[in-house]
Amino acid sequence: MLRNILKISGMFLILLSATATSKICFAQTLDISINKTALAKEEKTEESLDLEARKKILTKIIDTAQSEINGLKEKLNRFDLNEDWQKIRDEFLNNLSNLQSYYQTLEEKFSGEITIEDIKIMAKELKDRREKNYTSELKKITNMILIFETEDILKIVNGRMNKISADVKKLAKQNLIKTDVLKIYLSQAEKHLKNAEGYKKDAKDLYFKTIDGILGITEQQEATSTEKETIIKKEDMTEIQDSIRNLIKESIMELRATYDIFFKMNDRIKKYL
Amino acid sequence: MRDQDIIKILQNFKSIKPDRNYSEKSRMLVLLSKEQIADNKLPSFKIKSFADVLKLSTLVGAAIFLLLFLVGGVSYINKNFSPLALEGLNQKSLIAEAENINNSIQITLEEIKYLNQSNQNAINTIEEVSKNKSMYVAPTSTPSVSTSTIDEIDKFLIENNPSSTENQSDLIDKLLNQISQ
Repeated sequence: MLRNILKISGMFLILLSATATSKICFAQTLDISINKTALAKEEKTEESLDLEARKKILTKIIDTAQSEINGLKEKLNRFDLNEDWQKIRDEFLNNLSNLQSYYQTLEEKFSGEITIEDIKIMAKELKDRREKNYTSELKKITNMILIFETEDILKIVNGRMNKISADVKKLAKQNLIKTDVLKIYLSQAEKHLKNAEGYKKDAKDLYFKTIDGILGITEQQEATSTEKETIIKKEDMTEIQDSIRNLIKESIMELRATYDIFFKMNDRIKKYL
Repeated sequence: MRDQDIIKILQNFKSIKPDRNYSEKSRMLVLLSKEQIADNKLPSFKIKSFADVLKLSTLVGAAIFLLLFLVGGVSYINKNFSPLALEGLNQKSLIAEAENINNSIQITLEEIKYLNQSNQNAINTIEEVSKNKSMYVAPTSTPSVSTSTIDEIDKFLIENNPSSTENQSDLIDKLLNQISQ
């Protein structure tokens, strides 16, 4: 009897302990589960903040790019060009407008529901586009701007040269002052101006000669083209653009030298006044 | 003579009147003399009719025209016929023209420099955005990448504002070297 009572109580104790253990396990499981949810929430918040930060950066870059493109368009439109050059300008304007549309599409995507992965993909595309297309396009556009600005300046300097030349002739005719030194200065200035004209012409010719490359030949066109002259690889194009820029730089330096001489002439004249 | 006689005589004086023609003549003389005094006082400001206004304005106009003609003529003669009147070597216009050209080149070169740098900065930043590294850092820790990047862009835009006081020629040389590299 006693043995039976002990057996029953033993079983009861075992059952009780088992229940207690399972309760603890359940509580522990619940606790882990709650912790996991909280962690997930926290992670989600951090993820959304990361997403917002990425969106914000890209939006800022796109806004800046849009205003830069507007500035470039404005500059390009300022020049009075002939038909051939107008075509080149129109092509650039068209490319810039396409880029603006692409930026606009990206901004629209940002305002919709996107994930961090989407943003990363968009960023990669944007980077590739800027690196492969925009960087070289920018160089071409700014070179064209430099060529035509230099051309405008050359017109002004030529006008000044004509006036100074007339002044020297007038002074020589009046025979009031010695004009030998002035004449030497004048010939030096004419030489510098001629050089400036030459460099500008070379830059313009090179730009125009490589026009197909400047406007961008597609890879397919490059592959099918049989004429060696028309094939301009991207690396060559960069080199050509660098050469054009150097020629423009030389032209500007020659213009500066021309004005230096004009000022020397002015100093000499001041002595007689 | 008695007092009463004197009073009587004085009362008779009251009835004395001047001759009518004489009084009218005298009155006319008095009135005429007043007008003459007024005329003598302000002779030039008396404008009687539109014809007077026209006459006055014609005179003033002619005087101004003559003055301008004389001043302009002297200046023209000095500019064109003076032996040392030189249009091309005129210092003022030469300096102004050189400054205009300088500014125009400087602005364009700075714009090109800015566009190149901005493009390079944008490419670098976009590359960061395309990577796995989080762009957000909690405010309590080191400054977040996102904020600093945006600040960098702003700073860059401000720094590229063409308002440098540096010598223009040196600046152009420097810019030309940079863009040609």
